[in-house]
Amino acid sequence: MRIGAFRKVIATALVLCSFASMSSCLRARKVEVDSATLVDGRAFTTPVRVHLNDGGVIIFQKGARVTADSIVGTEGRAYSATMESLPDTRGARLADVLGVEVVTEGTNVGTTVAYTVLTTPLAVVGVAALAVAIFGSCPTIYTDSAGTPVLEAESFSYSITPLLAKRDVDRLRAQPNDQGVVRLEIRNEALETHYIDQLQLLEVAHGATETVYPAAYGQPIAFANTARPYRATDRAGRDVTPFIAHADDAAFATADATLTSASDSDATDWIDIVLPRPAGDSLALALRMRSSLLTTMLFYDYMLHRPGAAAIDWLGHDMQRIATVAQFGRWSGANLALRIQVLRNGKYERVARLADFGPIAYRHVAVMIPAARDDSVRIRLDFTADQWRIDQVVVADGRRVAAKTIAPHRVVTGADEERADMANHLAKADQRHVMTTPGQRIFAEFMTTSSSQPRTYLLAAEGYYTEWIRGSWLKTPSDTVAFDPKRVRIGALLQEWHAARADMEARFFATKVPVI
Amino acid sequence: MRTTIVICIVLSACFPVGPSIESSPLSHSPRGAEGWIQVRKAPRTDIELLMLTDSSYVVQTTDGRIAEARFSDVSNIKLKDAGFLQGGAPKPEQYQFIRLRARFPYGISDDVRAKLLQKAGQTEIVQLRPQS
Repeated sequence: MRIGAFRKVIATALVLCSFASMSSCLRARKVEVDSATLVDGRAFTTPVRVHLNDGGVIIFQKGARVTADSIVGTEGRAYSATMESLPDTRGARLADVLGVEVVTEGTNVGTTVAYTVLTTPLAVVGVAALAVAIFGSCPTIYTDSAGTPVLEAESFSYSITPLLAKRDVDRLRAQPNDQGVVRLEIRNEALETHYIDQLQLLEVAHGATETVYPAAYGQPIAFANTARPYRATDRAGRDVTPFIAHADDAAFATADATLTSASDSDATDWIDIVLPRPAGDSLALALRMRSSLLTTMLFYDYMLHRPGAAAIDWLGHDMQRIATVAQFGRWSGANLALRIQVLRNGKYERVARLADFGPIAYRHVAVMIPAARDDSVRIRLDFTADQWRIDQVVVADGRRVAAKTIAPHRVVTGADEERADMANHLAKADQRHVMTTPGQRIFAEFMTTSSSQPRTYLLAAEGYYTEWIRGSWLKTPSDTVAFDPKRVRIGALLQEWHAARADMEARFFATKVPVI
Repeated sequence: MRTTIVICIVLSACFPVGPSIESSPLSHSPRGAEGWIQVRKAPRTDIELLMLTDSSYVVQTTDGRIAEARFSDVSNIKLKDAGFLQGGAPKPEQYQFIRLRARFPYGISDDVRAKLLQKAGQTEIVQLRPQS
């Protein structure tokens, strides 16, 4: 994204900061590969991959030299087409060579700018308050209500690297203006770079008495005849019905007793909920909730601060590997998700697992659940202690509903510059991202269709973000190796969270990066 | 301004971060880029990229099968260090970028094809088709 004025400020600050703070300047590397032309006498000083007619490959890690009839080097590691390792070789005849690739190292200019700015004295950029910024972690979505921005959603909170990019769907309260336009403001209010791949408005037509939520899986769910809980009890034995009966931001949080007694072997909290069974055959469980800042602390402290410089390679390299990301995904699914279970025939059966919620905006989600013949529905929500803030749980008659997708027809920057290229980039989930840096915002406009039937709008967003590693984190590491889920002791994590929670919750929302 | 930034970075002797040439698989692994591919209405399949033809990706799945997915059937493909691509034929510059990260960037002969299939215990390349 080229938002002229802000980039100029950042770039100019970089010039000043780089000289003022050389020790905190980081260069982001990238590795490139290209075909090489074989000319007699040409020497390569970087790794060379020689592809042979028989499908084999020789890798000269220390480079190679071309002669009149061959390519030669030292310690050539040879492999067959089927990847068997062969004895090392010193070269190959050019007649046997199909092609040669040369591997080189370059500088990723865009990423280097980000790393450098974040590690230089922030006062030079003129935003001293950012030094203690802990607000994150995702794009925040606002709509305008009579001149006041209203927080509607946060997108792809879990997507901390490209391989974790995923589609998030959030319910919006927004309705079209007189011209039929839904206008959303997408802000970057954190020390992050956001890469937004796609924005889609989902338009759902429904009955007058129905409410529509995004589903945990599949098409949205419309529901009516809502029933609130008779009774809800948490693991500590508290009656928590008042916290989850109404959408009022007075949300359930784990009892101190449960949190302080959590251990590595038993870190779970749960809520048992009894709700009256609606009359219909298809039941939907609808929830309004968000993550607590436990995940944020885990991300900032365990993943980024403690490992120091190793965190940069972890984010920029390790987390680009499928195996690492898969391991991370399994661990976070097991430890950070909320599981929904329904009591059937005397046993709780898991019907859904919810994850990927952010800590900033409450998210609405619905799940179709099996309908028993009883006159009540018994639900258990179980989760790692204090991981969730659960504001409302209701059961209702539900049905799946179709959604019409609408791409943004117009995108405007914070500098009021219309950008057709951004609208084009955001129309599809492809490799073309709109990138925003801290303090930037864009406005996306969607043209809806007019109808007398009630409509609810959902926002589908896909992308990822990269966290800016704070200079202070690099200076005070307490570990020497990158984050490894296997090393996390969940009991210790929860005790640290218990100690830090009040301060973190007090500071979190006060440290948003102001948008321009 | 971009030039200024680059000069500044060079002059200030920046500390390098991110994948180095020594740690990159391109420098020491004979295999192609790893990632996943998804044909329409089918789940993702983890793969190593073997090569590109004019109309398809040829891959080895993590269970060892040699498989082919036509560009027109692919809804998404993601390769390490090559990013995320939507389905359909890659643009020329993308095609070149991906091709150079395959195990066989210059294609394979019939003999090599036969060796790969034999090793995989196959007689034909499996076609990854959209599911209905």
